[in-house]
Amino acid sequence: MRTYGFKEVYYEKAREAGVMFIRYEEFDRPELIRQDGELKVSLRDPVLRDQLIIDTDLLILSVATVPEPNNANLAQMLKVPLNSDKFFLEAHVKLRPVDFATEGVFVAGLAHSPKFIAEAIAQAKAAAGRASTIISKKAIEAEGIIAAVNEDICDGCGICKPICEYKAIEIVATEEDKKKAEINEALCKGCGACVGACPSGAMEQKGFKDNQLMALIDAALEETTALSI
Amino acid sequence: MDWEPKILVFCCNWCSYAGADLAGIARLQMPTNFRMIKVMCSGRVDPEFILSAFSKGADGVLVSGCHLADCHYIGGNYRTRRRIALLKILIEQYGLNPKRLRLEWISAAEGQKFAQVIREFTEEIKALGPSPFKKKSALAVVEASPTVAKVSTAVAEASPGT
Repeated sequence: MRTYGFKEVYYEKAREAGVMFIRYEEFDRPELIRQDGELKVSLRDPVLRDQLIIDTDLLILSVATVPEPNNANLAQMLKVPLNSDKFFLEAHVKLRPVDFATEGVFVAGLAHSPKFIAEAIAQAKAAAGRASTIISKKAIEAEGIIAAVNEDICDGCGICKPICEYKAIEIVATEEDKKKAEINEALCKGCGACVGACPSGAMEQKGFKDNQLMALIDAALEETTALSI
Repeated sequence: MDWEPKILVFCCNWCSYAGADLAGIARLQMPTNFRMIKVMCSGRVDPEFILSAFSKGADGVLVSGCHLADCHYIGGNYRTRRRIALLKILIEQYGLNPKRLRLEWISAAEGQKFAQVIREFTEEIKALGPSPFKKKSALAVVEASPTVAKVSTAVAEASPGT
């Protein structure tokens, strides 16, 4: 028997108190049967290789912890991922255990995975700590290498909007009854995906401008033979 | 002089660039035919960059990002995957072998893979030979830019022996 965490102590106590633990194979699960008008549990013990029938005074089932069925909707609203069991998935198991990739959203407790109350409390404290690193500041320093729109060129075609993973781009109406993209500088992470997608060249990434990268390409492909004569 | 291919590599800052760094730290042997350009995300690689690189005489272009679902920016590499697939069709229409454009997913831990990809790709480009755009573009540059032309004539005059 292997128990979770330091719960081995309780297993030992249970054994001392005379509790019997019986294994079963996953493909050969215990069954409830009615025998002589009484409720009994029938199961095959793989160690004894025999069928056991256990009399019952009281039958208590361990209830499964299942994820909240609404998790998928919430995940979509907050732009945060779920794992394959439909629990919320943190940004990094070890390095960012209560954060999401989306800034300012944190996770704790049963939303994250089935866990004991003590663990849920510890995780909630961690999440509160992480949140306080943001709300304790008077202002948030944004990344420098974020995207910027050249409003004279932007047509507001909206190609960039669905590209942005952080929902940092909005298409807004200008005074002259035109549309243009607007960047929420606090949300932009500076990946540049919108810049690569912009068909008109209105979107630029600071520090990684088109002409800067083009200059790099030119330099990398420069014909150096003329100089090496 | 033997022809050596020129390969341009676009690496994302978080995975592939770190992977390349690891290959260097581990002193893995690889050909020196490539020049690397770092971008924050492979999604930043504008199709224009790739076409421009080919038109300027690159023999091969490698775009490398984080593994799918591992992107530092959630899903930039999915955009890249789509763009590269379309670009392969486009460059074929321009008369380039689509094998000259390659997309790879290399994580920060995959220094070995980076070196392997560079070795493979360089061999592949060597087998394909120089880019059909190469000579034309070199001439175009000389014609378009009088300073380059002047420099080359000046060099030619200065060294009549060559």
